[in-house]
Amino acid sequence: MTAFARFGALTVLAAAALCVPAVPVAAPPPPLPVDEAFALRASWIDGSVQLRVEVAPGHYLYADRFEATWAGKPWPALQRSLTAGGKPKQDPHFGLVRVYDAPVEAKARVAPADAQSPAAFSIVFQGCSEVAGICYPPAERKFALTAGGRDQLPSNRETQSLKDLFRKQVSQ
Amino acid sequence: MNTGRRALLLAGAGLTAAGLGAAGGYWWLSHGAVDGAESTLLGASFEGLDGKTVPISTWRGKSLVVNFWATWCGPCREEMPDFVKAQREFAAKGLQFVGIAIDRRAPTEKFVAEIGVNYPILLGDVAWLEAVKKMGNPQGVLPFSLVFSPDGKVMLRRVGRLKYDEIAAIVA
Repeated sequence: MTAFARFGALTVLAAAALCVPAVPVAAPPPPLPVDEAFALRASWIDGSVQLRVEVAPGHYLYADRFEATWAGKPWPALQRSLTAGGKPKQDPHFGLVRVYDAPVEAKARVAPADAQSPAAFSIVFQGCSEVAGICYPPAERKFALTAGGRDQLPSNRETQSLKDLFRKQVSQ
Repeated sequence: MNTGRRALLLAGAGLTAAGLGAAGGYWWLSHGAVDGAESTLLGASFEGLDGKTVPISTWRGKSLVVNFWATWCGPCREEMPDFVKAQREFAAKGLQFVGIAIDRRAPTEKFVAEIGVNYPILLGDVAWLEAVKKMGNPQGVLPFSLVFSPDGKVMLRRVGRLKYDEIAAIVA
């Protein structure tokens, strides 16, 4: 190898070494928007509200962090249906918890007194992504359904009053 | 090869390497150019676990890792022992961790004591989950870490787990 070639090779090596970032690139995939990670739809059929939450692969929802309200007041029937399911998960930090890593289906009858008016109910939920290694803060999605409505999307896509959600959901 | 030509080659090699290195350095720093959002964080103050208000500027001049976390976030709890180890091992090299808990005091204090956190933990309002959306965390999820150089430039943004090896590479 000529001196010229040696210097050329050394130059390229030195430049390559200097261009390598100091920190190895090992970033996890970026998290999905919460409405893609956990997509809610609701129907009001035969006197009952049916809620379905799709859970994206590699994500999960905590069963005991669901909250259902009707016209701003607790809705125990839907709440029970939401928190009763899921599967047990031995969490290294929280012990035995119940989580949903598959679609959530919940159902509750609408009280006859409420059947004539549009259903204004909301769902609070909180979950995490195992693939991205993150947790979403609690989110609230609101529905405005009329009897017979099917596969309705939430009427809001923005979390309302994050502070209130935190007070209820994650602050012990 | 005569002396003059060799000197010319050496100078050319040096200049090329320096130029490419500078470009690599520029790439590295510009990976997270400082903008208004991070400036807000660096200029902010938070309540410490002792009840005193602490400005982030306290640690100006350090290689600063600001970690947003919460006790209700499993992945956050999982990465923190790495931070404890890194703080212990690299403090002498100017590395400083600061944890901002989006949480209440009681569970924060309990967890911090449990794992023996050896760096300052401050309490952050949930509004910071909105603020971090402009700092490279568009979904406002946790954990989220920002690594600042001693002169306040963002060296790394990490949505999700920040590993010990990556921290070690930064201070090496």
